[in-house]
Amino acid sequence: MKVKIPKNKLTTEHLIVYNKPKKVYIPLISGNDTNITILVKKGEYVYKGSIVGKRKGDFRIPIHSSVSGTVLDFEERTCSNGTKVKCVVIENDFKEKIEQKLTVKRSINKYTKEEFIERLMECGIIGLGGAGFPTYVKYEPKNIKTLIVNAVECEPYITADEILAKQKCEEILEAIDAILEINKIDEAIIAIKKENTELKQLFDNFIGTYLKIKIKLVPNVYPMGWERTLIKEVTGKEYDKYPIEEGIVVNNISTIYAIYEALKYNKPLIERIITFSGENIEDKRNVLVKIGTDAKEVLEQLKIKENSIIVAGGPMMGNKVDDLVISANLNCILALNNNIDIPSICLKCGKCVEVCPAKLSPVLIMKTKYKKEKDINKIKKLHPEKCIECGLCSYICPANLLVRERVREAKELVRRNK
Amino acid sequence: MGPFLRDKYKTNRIMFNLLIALLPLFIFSFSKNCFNPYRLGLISFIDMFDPIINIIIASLTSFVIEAIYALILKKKNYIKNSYAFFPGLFLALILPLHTPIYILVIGSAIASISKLIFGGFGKNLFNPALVGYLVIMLFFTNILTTDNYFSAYELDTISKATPLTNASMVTGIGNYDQLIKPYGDLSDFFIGTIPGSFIETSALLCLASYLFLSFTKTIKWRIPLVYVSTVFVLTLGIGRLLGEGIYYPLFHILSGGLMFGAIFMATDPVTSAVTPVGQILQGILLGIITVIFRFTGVEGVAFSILIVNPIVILLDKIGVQARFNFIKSVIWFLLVTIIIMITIFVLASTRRVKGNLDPNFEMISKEKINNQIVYNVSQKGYGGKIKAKITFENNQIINIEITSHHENMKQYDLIMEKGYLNDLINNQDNIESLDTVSSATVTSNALKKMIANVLEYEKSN
Repeated sequence: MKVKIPKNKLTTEHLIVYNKPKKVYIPLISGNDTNITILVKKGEYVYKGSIVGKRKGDFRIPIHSSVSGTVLDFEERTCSNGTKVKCVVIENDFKEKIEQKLTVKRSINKYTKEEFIERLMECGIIGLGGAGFPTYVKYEPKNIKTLIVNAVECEPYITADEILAKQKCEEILEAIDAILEINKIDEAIIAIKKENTELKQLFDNFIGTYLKIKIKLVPNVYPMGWERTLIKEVTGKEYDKYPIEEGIVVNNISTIYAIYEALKYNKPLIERIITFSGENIEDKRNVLVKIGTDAKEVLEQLKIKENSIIVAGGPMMGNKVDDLVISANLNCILALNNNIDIPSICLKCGKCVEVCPAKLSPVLIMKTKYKKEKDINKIKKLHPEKCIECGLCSYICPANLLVRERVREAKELVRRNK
Repeated sequence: MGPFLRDKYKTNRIMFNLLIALLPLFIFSFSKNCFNPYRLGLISFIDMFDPIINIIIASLTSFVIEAIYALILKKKNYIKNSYAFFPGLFLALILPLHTPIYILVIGSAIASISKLIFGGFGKNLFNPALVGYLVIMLFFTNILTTDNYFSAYELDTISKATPLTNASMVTGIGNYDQLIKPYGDLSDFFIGTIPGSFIETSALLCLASYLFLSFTKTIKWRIPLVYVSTVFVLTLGIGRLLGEGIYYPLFHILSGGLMFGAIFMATDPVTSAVTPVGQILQGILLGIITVIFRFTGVEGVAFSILIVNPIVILLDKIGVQARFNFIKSVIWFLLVTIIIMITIFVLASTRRVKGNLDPNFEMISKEKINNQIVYNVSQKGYGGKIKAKITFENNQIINIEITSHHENMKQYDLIMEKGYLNDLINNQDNIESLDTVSSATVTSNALKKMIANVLEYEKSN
């Protein structure tokens, strides 16, 4: 069963830019990995686009400064996943100085596959939909058949992708076309929600000359934007671990635009559009912000009410935070009323089982007590590691229980005891 | 902790929807069992409200028990979220119309205690109302007799027991004339103008509730659907095997507490499966067990549900795996199910009626009172039906009482004067050789045949 949840798309059409933070706090995190080599020292001058850190291990993806100025310090600040992350504090000199440029090609179609992958890596392009997986890794395989462009944005409130797609429709199509040509991919499918007729119309207007790009309308349900659900819906295919098994790559629409900027202007990932919404923000808007901006500054400008709770991310998957710096994979910041639903008693209605897109049985995971070694095997049989933390189980729970949290704990337990 | 958006559908609404779904059933039952007899002058105005008083007392009993529990354990908020009156409410609804109040109170108390033993709401392993029902069935057998099930109107108009008690008394699996005719036709079964427990008789309204509860996502819709379908398929097969028509499976799904039990009791969220496949398996298992119960002469919906309650945990284990690997996880269950179904068909086919039963003989009811079995039977005599109450003890007739007859009084008196009833009792082991009473041959012969038929029936059961 797929679930329709309230849309709450409240933002106004008009995008504003917030590009004058006094300080930025560049979080040293890539995806959920905080194992980052720091490449700057206190007091050092950095340009806009300078590399301040690089991820260790398999994916050596760089992290860039979003302003020019002086490195003041290193500070722990809360990031989108709700944890404290070490950040490079840079004082903005508002000069927006840029280091000498790498060469750009006259046409973005002219990159070879190797150059393309190198460029994505150098520019630090990661998935902007949430997980923050390095994008170049997805394009390394040679047998890609289908590119699915995810413009679904199924979480309530969020309209960041939508507004970007509306403003940069032509650029996005151009980028998709280039990606197809460079990687010798057969086709691209842009997945748009059925209800989003405006966006469909817009793409239809420009799509004429791109014969390999198709548009597919998908149901208005949550979590339609989840890779697995989306691929099943669009192509009917199912896979074991990664979409590439079926020759499929999925990219978020804002990631596609980031690729466009990387190819066209050699622009690293230093800013992005974020939806600021929720009933406690007066001026609900999409804002183009620099990575590392303190969310509070923007919230104050948009007139946040007192005693709000701040949520980093959408209402379903987001985390409650006290303070927040903006990282690349964050797409939404909400200010909500602080009303708590009091949990009552589980009556085993089975609704969480019905709605789980990962086919889990959350109520049974929740009811399994794990104290002894033996119990871990019991819980392993329930496969909590498959949980995508979409939050539908907690959303649907008539007893207001924190079902997802219990499943997440079980997931951690299974991961630790592999 | 997120999510920061929650569905507005809360537990309260589930419980409220259940009450809404019960309302039409209640109104129907009230009008059939209470208002109609009152209108016909069969019961007094005050008596008309008996079932309502029963329901209130039973619900209150359950509530008080849980309130005391909450007080003792100092769980202040427990009673708010425990829906404490439900066990008593449901128990009152599934018991016979004229259940004595003290039994109702005992039953409701046991129902609630059975819930609290496991730790209260959400933790009980067995359906509380059905535990109460089971205890009453086991310890107060003689209270749940035909008379208590019947409304005043039905007592006057229907000479049989409830349809399923009646079905358990026929030889073989019965036929249309034996199963359906005494109560009207199939439409009476469908609409619910047949005797039975207070709330359960109207299949039509049960179906309406089912649709309402399924579309409002109140109950686990798969369970009743699969349960009733399984009973239908099994009884259809049995009926076909023994040459009965489509009325036969319909009789089974429309009579007794099947519909009501499947929709309201088998889907009790706390004691039913949570996985979709688990729910389907639960329905299949319930259907099989209910059919087996019915063919051993017991109305088994309540017992089936109670038997399956603890098994639900295992069914959910299959249900969990089925979400990842369907075939592998359900194959064993299905194989075992098919074997059981075949066994049922084989056993059922042995129920074929041998020889012809005396068409002038009719079994009206059979009741067990302590160690005695009392048959109400009738036999066609000279002037119409002779009805009698025949008491067995240790497989021997110990008493014969003629309850009504239309015979010629002179001849009847002659038979009584000669002590023919005692002759019948004394010669029961060799009834064929007993002579009839001269000058009253037809009537005495009818009595003799009646006893022969009862003995034949008793032997074959």
